[in-house]
Amino acid sequence: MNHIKSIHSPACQIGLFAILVQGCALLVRNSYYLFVLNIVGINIIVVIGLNLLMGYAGQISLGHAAFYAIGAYLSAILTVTYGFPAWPTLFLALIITAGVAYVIGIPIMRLEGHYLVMATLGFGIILYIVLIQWDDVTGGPSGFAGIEPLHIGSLTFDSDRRFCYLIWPCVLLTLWGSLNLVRSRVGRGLMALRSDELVASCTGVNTEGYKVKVFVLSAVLASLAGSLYAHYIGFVSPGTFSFFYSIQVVTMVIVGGLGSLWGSVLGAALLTVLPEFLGIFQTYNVLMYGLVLMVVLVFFPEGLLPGLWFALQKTHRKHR
Amino acid sequence: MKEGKVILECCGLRKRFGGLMVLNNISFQVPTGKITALIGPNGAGKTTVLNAITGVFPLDEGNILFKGHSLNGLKSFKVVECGIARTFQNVRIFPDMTVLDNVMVGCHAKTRSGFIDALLHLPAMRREETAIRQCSIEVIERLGISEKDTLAGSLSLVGQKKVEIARALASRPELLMLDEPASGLSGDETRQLAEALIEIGQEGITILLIEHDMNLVMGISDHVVVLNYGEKIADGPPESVQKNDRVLAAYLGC
Amino acid sequence: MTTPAQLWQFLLSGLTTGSIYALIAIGFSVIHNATGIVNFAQGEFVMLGAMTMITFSRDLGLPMPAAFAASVLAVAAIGIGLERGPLRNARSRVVLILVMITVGASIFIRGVSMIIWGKMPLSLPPFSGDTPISFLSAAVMPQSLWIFGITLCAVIILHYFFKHTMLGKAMRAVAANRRAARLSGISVDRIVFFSFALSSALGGMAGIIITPITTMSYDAGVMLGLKGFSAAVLGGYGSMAGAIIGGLTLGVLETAGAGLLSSHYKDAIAFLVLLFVLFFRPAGFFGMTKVQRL
Ligand SMILES: Nc1ncnc2c1ncn2[C@@H]1O[C@H](COP(=O)(O)OP(=O)(O)OP(=O)(O)O)[C@@H](O)[C@H]1O
Ligand SMILES: [Mg+2]
Repeated sequence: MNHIKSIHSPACQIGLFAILVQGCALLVRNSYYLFVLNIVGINIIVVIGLNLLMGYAGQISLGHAAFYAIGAYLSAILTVTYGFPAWPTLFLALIITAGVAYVIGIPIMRLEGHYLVMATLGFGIILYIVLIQWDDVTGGPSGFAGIEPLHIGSLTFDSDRRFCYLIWPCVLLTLWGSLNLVRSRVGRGLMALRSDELVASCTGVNTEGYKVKVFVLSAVLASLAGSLYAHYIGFVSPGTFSFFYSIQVVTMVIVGGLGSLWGSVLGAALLTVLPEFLGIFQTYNVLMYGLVLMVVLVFFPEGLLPGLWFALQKTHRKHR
Repeated sequence: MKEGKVILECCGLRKRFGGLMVLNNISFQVPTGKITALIGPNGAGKTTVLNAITGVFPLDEGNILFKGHSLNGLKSFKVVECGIARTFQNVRIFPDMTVLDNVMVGCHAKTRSGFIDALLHLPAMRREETAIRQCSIEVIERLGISEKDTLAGSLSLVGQKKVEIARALASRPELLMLDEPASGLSGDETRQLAEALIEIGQEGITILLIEHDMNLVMGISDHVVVLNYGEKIADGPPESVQKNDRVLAAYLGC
Repeated sequence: MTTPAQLWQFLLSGLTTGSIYALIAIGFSVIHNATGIVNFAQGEFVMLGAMTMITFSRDLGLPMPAAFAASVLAVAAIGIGLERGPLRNARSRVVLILVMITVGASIFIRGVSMIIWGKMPLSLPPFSGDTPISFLSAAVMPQSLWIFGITLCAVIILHYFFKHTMLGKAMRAVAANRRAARLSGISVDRIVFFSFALSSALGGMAGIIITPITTMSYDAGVMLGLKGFSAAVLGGYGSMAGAIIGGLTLGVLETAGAGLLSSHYKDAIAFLVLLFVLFFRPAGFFGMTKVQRL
């Protein structure tokens, strides 16, 4: 009984996962594969944050690209144009994102269902327009270049392999924190809120406060991913942060299963890796995401991976 | 009625939904440590009183005092923090959570740890978590619920009603408000419920009971308030209410 | 300096785009009333209308009226396909899941359109020349007159349809109360089917008549859809009068904002209006707030 329990503890699961990733990173020699592995890591951070919002609090955001963009552009602009030091800027970006998310979260989180979808989408598009139009500051459509890589002491994360050692610890930390969160008093409150908002409130859950806080948390995670992305690639342009990115991350959450954090990890990995390696996906990228989103929601509303898992168990039981 | 202390006092409650006056100048008191029943024919406004007390919607007029403090304008979760817990007329548990989790949500009002504590898995939060678990298990056992790790949605109606009461008790309320707990229960189950309620009452928890089952009401309550079409038509000990002409008229429909 | 003449000009061109938003907004309302969901693919219908029209008239050489009818029908068929296909077969009936399915559908349509019609914006010739007509000291494109005319016709026909035909009345009944409508023998199924046909046809038509002025590209659907949605919200979601007034107001606000403040942020104006209305007056100008029942 005791050792079964320990396998279910977040720390242990994450340890195993870390070993797996470390193994991958060591085995892979090709730097393009490492690049993909890093992008997977960045996406996982955004997707986990979004899943906390969608899967636990039951609130959908189609504007998460905006928070990803705020992190990336703040890091880019403040370090390059104004010469701020990189790490403090990253934290400043997190704080600013938190502030922005808080201010818009208070009214946005009062909306329900499809109004929320539209409002977050609207917010995302406004920010995208600003990125393109405010070109003296953001570099406009052609983007913003010259962002230095991050470094700790004399260790500079300037190669694909070195960045691996920055991004994956961040991923593991995010995962650890999020697993802790969903298994706590707050996580139960969020689940109650998703299940029945009014009753949750009458049971003592501060539903409005929770919704805003989890919105802020997921925005902050997106911003963190954005800052890391900017320092990794060294260049940001609006195309990366368009409405389509918001759709991509939502699709990853849904493929992995609403409310399943490990599912999110798999969903993000699957949908980042597959298009990179199947050449046909380049032209069909948009189409594929639309199709995947639609088909998964039609046939496996609880998520593709959980859905397949249940189906597998069922056939297994039948065979016995 | 003047002797004991009063835990909840409703003064001149008014509420209208569109053109319908659902509560019209309702005033009554709930004595501390007793079982008070709120009865009345369908549509009398009983559930609406409960909703008004728990801040589900604002009142048009009137004042609700809990231990002398006004509850007006408080959000629902604040009301729970004050020490008032409730159940719902059509059982509303969290079906996709386990029984234990359902009850543990109930502990929300009396616990503190927030997002940061949870994210970082701080020791204070772990201690609190253990306490929550223990307290919930106690409540579950007390109500005789045997399966704590099954999904609450898969329980029978009786089981779900018990979970709902357990969830309410988990917030360690001073006032427990039950909206038709006996509806859908068999005679035996109703008797068990009555015993459980008396026991809860003996622990010093005040109960406000909405109920259509007159045997249950007259059997266990110390004080009865009768509503009809949004008006209070009677208020007093069960024996006197039973003989009240207006009550008889309302129930027999003449 | 802005002169009254300029303002008058803004008003006219604002009403032109506003008419388009109104048509899209009506489409949103019709589907919402029948099903309770927001059809996210509404903007895609607008784009598809324009694109199929381009194919029918430019590539297949059909005469204008025939191409117009064929495109509207084609888009209606796609709308019906969306309803009969993914939405009807969805395992979950949760409104939000259905809404997300329409999001998926809209991305899918966008991806397919990119492959069929390419990434470059396409255009259509105006229906009757492009010599501006002078109207009370403002220049009006003949196409604007077409837009006003067609929108007005559509609105009148819809009004008649909802007030005086059995099907229209049934649709209103379903909007007011699904359960009661079903119990009184209305086939909700048929209403849903028809709503999708109607609103996709309206969207397609809007796309066809606006393209000679604005051009159209495969990715314009989201923007148009969101603006139509903003218009619907502005006027009070679900009401036809609201959709029309919301659409026209939004069109004028947008053109005036672009002209008086900054044309760079023209597209942001609609969303600012949307956010503003949602935050401060979620029921719109004419809508009524609903009370949740326990
Ligand atoms: N949110 C609401 N909006 C409109 N009318 C409402 C709402 N809630 C309750 N009502 C109406 O208020 C009246 C009183 O309702 P309430 O639920 O309080 O009655 P009740 O005494 O609990 O009846 P029952 O014994 O059937 O539960 C009813 O006529 C009901 O239709
Ligand atoms: Mg009731």
